[in-house]
Amino acid sequence: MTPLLEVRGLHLRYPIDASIFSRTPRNVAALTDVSFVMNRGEVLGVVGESGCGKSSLGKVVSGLVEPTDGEVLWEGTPIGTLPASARGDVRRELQMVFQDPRASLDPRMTVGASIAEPLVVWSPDADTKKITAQLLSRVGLSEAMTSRYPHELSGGQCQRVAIARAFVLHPKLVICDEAVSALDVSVQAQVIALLRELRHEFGVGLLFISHNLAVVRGLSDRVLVLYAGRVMEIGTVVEVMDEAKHPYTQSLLDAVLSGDPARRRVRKQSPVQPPSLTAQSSGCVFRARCPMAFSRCAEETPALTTVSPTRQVACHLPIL
Amino acid sequence: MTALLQITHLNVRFAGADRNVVAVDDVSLRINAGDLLAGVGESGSGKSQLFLSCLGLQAPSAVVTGSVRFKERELLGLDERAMNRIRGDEICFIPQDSLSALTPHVSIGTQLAEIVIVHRRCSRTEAFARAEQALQRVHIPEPARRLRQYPHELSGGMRQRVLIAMALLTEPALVIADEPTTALDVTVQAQVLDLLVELREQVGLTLVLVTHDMGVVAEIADRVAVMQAGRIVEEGLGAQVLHSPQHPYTQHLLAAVPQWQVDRSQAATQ
Repeated sequence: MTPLLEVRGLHLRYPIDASIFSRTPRNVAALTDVSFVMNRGEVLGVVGESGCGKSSLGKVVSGLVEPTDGEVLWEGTPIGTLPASARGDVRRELQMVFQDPRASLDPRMTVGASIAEPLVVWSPDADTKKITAQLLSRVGLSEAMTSRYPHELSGGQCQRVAIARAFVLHPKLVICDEAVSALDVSVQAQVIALLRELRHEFGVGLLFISHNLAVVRGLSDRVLVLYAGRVMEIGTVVEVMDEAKHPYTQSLLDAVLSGDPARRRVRKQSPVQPPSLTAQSSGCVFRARCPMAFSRCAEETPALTTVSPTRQVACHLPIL
Repeated sequence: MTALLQITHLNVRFAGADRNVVAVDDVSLRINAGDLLAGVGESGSGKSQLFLSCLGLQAPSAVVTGSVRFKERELLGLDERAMNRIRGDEICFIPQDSLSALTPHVSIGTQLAEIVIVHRRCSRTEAFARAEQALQRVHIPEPARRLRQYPHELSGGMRQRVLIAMALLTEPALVIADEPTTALDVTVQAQVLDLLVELREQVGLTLVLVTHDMGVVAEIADRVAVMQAGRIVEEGLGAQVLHSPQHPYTQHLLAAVPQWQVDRSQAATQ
């Protein structure tokens, strides 16, 4: 069966003009050689530190940004080769939920109008009123909200509206870019529970981008770990989070707070520097921070290697 | 032992057009020297307003009543001049957003040195030397170069370190940090927390940490005060409050924290 989404050798570079006198144009490599597959109804979590390319990945997959190189296949068809009309059909099946719900909702549109807008575009014959009301109650908002404006809603309520809008066309994939990061813990827990329910109800796949490992762990089937725009490790939640093979994944996991005063972290002192995205150096991007780096790491970029049927790791010396 | 900071029956109210909003409702809290107290609660619980008003940093429209005694001296009602002598000297504040907390067009060195010059009346050279030491103490690499840099040239984690260095310049008796790690990545957050614990051991810092993150509380706090709707609903030792919360709201907050050990079988069968 063809997977729902396949990403092949994706590169995304942004040019930067360091100086008008510099001869060679310089680039920021936001994504380098990213490949993965998503099946129907699957939740893939994407984790990494800020600047690692998580959001760039979401933008390329959704078609908001054109990749520099590589392709995104939607049900086996490369999106890049599709005519504009067919691209629209893909967009209908692929929706996004962003981090800041107040910024992603039109302040001059009522909640009802925001949710109904995709329907107006895609299925003008639908009973928008009924569908909007149903969906509103499904995401836990009362029907009275239909006529409200985003500024009258709390952050959590706005995010519920954004989720309702993303699900109104019954998409096959929803990209959630830090969709719960701006919410208070208790509201966050409710929105995660809602996403988990909707996912099973609608049979929808989620590309769940977050820096919060605990949230990703609770919601995802598989996890992809990004560092400096490269895939470090990809596998099932249990594989990646309980038996991490990449030292970077391990360092992320070590930084997670246990929430238990009896099990505090072991303190470390040296501050880490973020990776340079402009240096076109060879070797492993993580080697400067890696406790296990050796000579080969500086010479040869580790390839993403399959170590089990469900897992790939990019490291010369994976943790056993 | 007398308290370092004693807050008694503190109220913070905002007069609205049709009704008053009570941000802090009759709060009493005692902070002893050497404490590491976490004030937790969700947005709008009044945790920031409580500590901002102790420093006289409340919004102009706020009405503050009650008593805040620092080293047995009443802070409420002090004039701006007297307050400025305490603020940034004996009590320091670390704000959440490190980009807006630093002046964008003034170099890090000048911003740090200014504090030393104002509060310690020393020469510019000496002030810069102190600033460099302060950056070193918070483990910022190449401190001399950082002094010449501007806020936008530093990463979020580095800027947060600068703010911590800034708060420690005058060796204050009390540091109040408002969500110091909320905007940071997990790995950087872990480093900043490590740094706070280390500084506490080294210089005997008394620290109040305002946060909504129970993970942070569990990691470093000795005492916890849980706030809801302007009131402290539960207060106690960190381990006690986190392991056996008594108030329903505390239980609710703890239950909402994404758990590492999720029941995945349940999630899958839904």
